[in-house]
Amino acid sequence: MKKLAAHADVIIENAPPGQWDEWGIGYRQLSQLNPRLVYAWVGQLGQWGPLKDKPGNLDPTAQAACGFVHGTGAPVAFGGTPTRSGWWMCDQVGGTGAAIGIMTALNYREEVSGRGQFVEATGAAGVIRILDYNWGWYGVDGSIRPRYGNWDLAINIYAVNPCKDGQIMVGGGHDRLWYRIWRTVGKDKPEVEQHIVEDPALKEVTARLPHYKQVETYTSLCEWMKDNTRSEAETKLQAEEVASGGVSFIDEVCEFPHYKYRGHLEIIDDVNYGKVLIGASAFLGQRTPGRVKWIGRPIGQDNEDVYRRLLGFTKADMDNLKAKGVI
Amino acid sequence: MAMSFEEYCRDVFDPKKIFGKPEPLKGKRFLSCTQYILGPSCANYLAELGAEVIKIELPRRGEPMRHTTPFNEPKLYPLSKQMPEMGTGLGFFGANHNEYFLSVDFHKPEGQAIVKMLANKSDGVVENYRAGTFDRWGIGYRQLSQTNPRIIYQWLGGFGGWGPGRKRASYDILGQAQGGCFSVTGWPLDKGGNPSKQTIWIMDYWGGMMGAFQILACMYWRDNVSGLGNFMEYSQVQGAQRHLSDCIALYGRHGLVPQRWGNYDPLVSVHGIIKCGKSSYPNSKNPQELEEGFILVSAYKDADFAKLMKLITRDDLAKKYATHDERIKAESQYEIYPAIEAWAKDKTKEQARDILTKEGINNQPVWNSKEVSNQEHFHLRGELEWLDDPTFGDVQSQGPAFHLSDSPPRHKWAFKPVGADNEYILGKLCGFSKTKMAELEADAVI
Repeated sequence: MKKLAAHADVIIENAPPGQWDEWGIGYRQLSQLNPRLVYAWVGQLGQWGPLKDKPGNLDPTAQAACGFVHGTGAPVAFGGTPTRSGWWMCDQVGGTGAAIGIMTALNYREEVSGRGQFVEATGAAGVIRILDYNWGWYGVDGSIRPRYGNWDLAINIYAVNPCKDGQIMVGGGHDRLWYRIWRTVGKDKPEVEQHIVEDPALKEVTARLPHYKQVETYTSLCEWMKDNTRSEAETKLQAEEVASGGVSFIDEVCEFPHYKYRGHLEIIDDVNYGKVLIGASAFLGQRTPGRVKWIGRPIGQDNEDVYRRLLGFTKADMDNLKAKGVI
Repeated sequence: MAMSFEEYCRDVFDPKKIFGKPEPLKGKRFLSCTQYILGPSCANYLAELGAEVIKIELPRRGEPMRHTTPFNEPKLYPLSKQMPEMGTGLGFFGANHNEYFLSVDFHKPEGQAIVKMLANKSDGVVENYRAGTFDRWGIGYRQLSQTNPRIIYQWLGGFGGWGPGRKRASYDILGQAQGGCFSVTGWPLDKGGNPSKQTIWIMDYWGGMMGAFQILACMYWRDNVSGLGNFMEYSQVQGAQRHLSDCIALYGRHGLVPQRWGNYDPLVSVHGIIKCGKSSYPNSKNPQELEEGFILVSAYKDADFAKLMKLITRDDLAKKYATHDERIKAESQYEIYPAIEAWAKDKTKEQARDILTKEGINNQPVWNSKEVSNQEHFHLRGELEWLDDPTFGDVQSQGPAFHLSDSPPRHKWAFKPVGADNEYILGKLCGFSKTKMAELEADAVI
């Protein structure tokens, strides 16, 4: 590791806190050998502090600890419980935070200091950073942001609700879209449009936010949506340029023409694993596009290349280390 | 080494020392022509790193995010000097730290001229209007790069700037719904659940992080390799697919459509969130605190699982599901988790935590924003902070998402009213006189 670190721009590790330092290959030691090294540690809650990570901690540890799980799902009165994300959301956000930190450190090294630095990113810090207005709100008056299911405390109309063949999102945070939504509804159900548009208590954007106003809004909207499939409702709303879209399942996502056209999904013909359908790199750029060249490889597949090219090991060296179980 | 590793980390990452250290992007300038969260947060991450980010909003009313969310009160968070009766909603809060606030009407030729002038002196532009709008106004990448070839132009949006669905509008929740995130979150139907929203505007905020990463990578390439800027786009529905790659691979190979699995984990067992029978605050006046507690229990290795089953006096299950292959099956999980809940029935989440921790079983109580706000851990690390804001006084704010030892990100102020920095920015970068600015303001250009 020490020899490799001399050749590396970046090291990323997520061993239990302090493990690599104890082994003599942590940032403190490696930065002595290679002062230009950017060393990043990633984890759930941190490598220091009273709640620092324990061995074996995985997402959703950070989801539960940062307030995310408490806020996701329907309120108790609607039969809901605190709910975790269906994907490893804290890992993804924490990883992206680490990537930004590393890129920043590289830019700073090239442009200013000539030195690397120590980077730490955690799932909890990443998600706390982006958890909307929870902290400001608690700070103002001690409010705990509650669960609000598929509706939104901050914006009305801005929700996912049931329709004829599933669920559909409809959104319109300001007046122009509000009236377009009801105009669309009014084409099929004029009485519903009239009820909403003529209600003096729904005239102001901010007056639509209280819970009973949201109930009134969405009950009326569902009165129209129950007769429309996701695709029918989408088509009618999009004719009025309203943001709307059905809740899509993974097969629908994979077969969606717009995504296919843009290459959001691609089939990698991988040497080791055959044809694999994956989500493509989301970084589109005219001159510097992101790309996927291969997915994971079997452990140690590149041993020979790396050890020969970077460290000058001979075959005997490698056989020796392999026999000892080191590589 | 004299210092323990923990002390060393606390020393190099100490949030109290941040303001004595250099800002990594000092000297870089970005324009943020953005609204809602996706675009604003992208530029915000650059401002945290010390870039001079100029947020450009429409005069007087500002951007729509100011007009949403609780605490939209003029006394707390004023909107603009022209509209003293209106306030800024808290939703604006997380995505606009450290920025300079300029008001310019993009629709007017004089406004477009100001944007061009500023762009010529900037490293980049972050923009999230409907695709092609800025190009139509003559201030898109094609036009700005003619006079400033080093400009990095990052567009962010819903469905992308091209393709059959390019005209569709998008919001965070639409990205979640159509991207596939709803379909895998929440309890399955037989447990009374529906496809569920993530509580955060995640596709916006995380999308902004992806955009910021892309900008930093491009800047590295510009400054070290090519000398050229770039036109980049980020689609938030595409980001969702990047997230869900494991589900997509499953569909591609086997035709399986991953479904919701509630608070259990489809790939690791035992690794799920269970309900404890008792509330931690039985005397609270807040109904949320009267609810029962929840806790994540994680014991997926054979030895840990056996220990957990012994603790809840269900050695029979330890024998029955001795291997992970056995434990991971759906029907096994439907038997194991209720058994743990039966054990936790007469406990609060803190009692469950103490017992599990004593036995060496990983766990994490589910905390609400009050409990999180009161954790010493997050304040010590600067992930939550009390910001002494020059405009608003004491506000509790989220800290940056990551730590750097030598050139750390930081929060200087939360946000300012619309056009608060007009004089500073237009005087410094455009050389406008006081009279000229008064004229522009009277014409509602700024």
